[in-house]
Amino acid sequence: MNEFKLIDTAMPDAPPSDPEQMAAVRARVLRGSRTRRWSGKPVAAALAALATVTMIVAIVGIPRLTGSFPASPADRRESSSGRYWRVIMEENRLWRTSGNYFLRQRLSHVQWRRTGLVDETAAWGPEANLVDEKRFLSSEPATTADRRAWKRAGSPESCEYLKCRAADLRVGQTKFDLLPGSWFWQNGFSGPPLTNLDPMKLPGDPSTLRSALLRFWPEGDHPEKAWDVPAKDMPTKDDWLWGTSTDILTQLPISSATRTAFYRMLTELPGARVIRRSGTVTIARALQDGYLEQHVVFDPATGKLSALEYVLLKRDPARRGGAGDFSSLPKGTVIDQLTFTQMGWTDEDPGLPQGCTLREQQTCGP
Amino acid sequence: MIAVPDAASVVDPERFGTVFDAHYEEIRRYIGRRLDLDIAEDLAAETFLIAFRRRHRFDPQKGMIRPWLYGIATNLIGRHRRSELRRYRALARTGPPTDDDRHDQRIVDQVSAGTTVGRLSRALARLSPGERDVVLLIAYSGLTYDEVAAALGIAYGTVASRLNRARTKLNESLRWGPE
Repeated sequence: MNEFKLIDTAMPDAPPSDPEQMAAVRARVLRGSRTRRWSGKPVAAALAALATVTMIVAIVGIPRLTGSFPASPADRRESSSGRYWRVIMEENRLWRTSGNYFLRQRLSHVQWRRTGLVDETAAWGPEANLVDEKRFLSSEPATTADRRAWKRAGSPESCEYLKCRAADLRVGQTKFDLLPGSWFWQNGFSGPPLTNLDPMKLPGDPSTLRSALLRFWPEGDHPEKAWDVPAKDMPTKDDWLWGTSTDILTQLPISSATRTAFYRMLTELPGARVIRRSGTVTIARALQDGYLEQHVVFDPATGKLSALEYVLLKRDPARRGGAGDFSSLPKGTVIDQLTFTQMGWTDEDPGLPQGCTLREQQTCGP
Repeated sequence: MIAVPDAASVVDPERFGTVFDAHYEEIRRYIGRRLDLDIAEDLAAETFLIAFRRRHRFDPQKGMIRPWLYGIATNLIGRHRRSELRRYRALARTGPPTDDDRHDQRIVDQVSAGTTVGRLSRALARLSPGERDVVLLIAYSGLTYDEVAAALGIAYGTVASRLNRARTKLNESLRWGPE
């Protein structure tokens, strides 16, 4: 028996709480409850922090996308049922290590999302509604110079979050994150709850879609009060529309018509610009911090989302020295890229390891 | 980053009741094992009031809900260091309360011979506040080292070094300390 077990076992325990007293405390705590929702900031990487600053830098551009959209999908057959909305993607991201060299890491994600998606009232339910099967594919020094620096540092092994600790995901390993309720990633903004949003019923017309989303935007002159966030963290309406749209595009089940409407709506946002390359169209817009630009890349022939990218616009003096310090990299460097290979309904279950169940709502493996 | 984090930790007013339901008892129990019960009740309530007020500051990148709540609770306990030390000194003199049948049974069943609540209490009183926080978070809450670091807002290495020092002191007290 180690010291901690010994302390836990031997030291006096506290008796269970009195149900009445607990109910009184609960009521007292929740009396402070306001009616609006707060949603978490993005997590998991230094990029998360980059998305939460306040300065707004607009990229001047005139969105013109005539002819770049797919034809109306009205006559296209698409499955709209299945037990899971599955997104298969590969992530390619850049990290700056404490040794001042960069690593390129590749991870594959297969995400199974059960229906009842953004009904926030259903969140924190008894079972996980989202499974993210994450496989760590590779971690390599980004350039020849980075490789030399890595070798000088003793060629350390890197894990999912750089420094390897017990139970951290290592190259070649797979783990399953089981997330509760209707967990929905929101792009760095605290903001209005998308309560009871049925993404499959979102309209296929850009202006109607915009209106449908903006019904979640609080009315009044001080929406930050309704959101219960500091004013400095408050995005503009356009920033919020952009972020929410990219979140829905990359995560939730939507129809082809809605997807096309999203593309059109995004190009019409102030600061958006359109880049055409062979076989792809990119809608680019600076994140509200002005240091990174987000790229929504799609195939104009099919309307399918191809990628979501974060591209370096300029140096961020506030990020010196951390994993998010990209100050030594040239403008235009892709810091993080999600490449989507498949999005659609499936009845196939995630292959959870033995003993790992949706009810556990916790990470399984490695 | 756009990928899904290790844990979903979105807190909203409508759902905060669920957070309370899921964690109140364990937070209260944690505080109640470090402080007298009347103080513990108040601090447990205060923990959740603070959590609710500061929910917009909750950053899942720094950890999940449990470490966050334990961190708030531990900070509140820090305002009652003297009470905590008085409690350990009292336990060192008298042992555990006699009405704690469950505890007595566990002692009989599980604690190795020669180890007493008195010795442990003396040992815990010898730790610095920082060392004690780390040790008791791990012992009572089962948080991992990473989670303790997130809860207390300290570096992983600091957790490790505090634990190292604390274990040395605990072992010395348990092995050589007065009965």
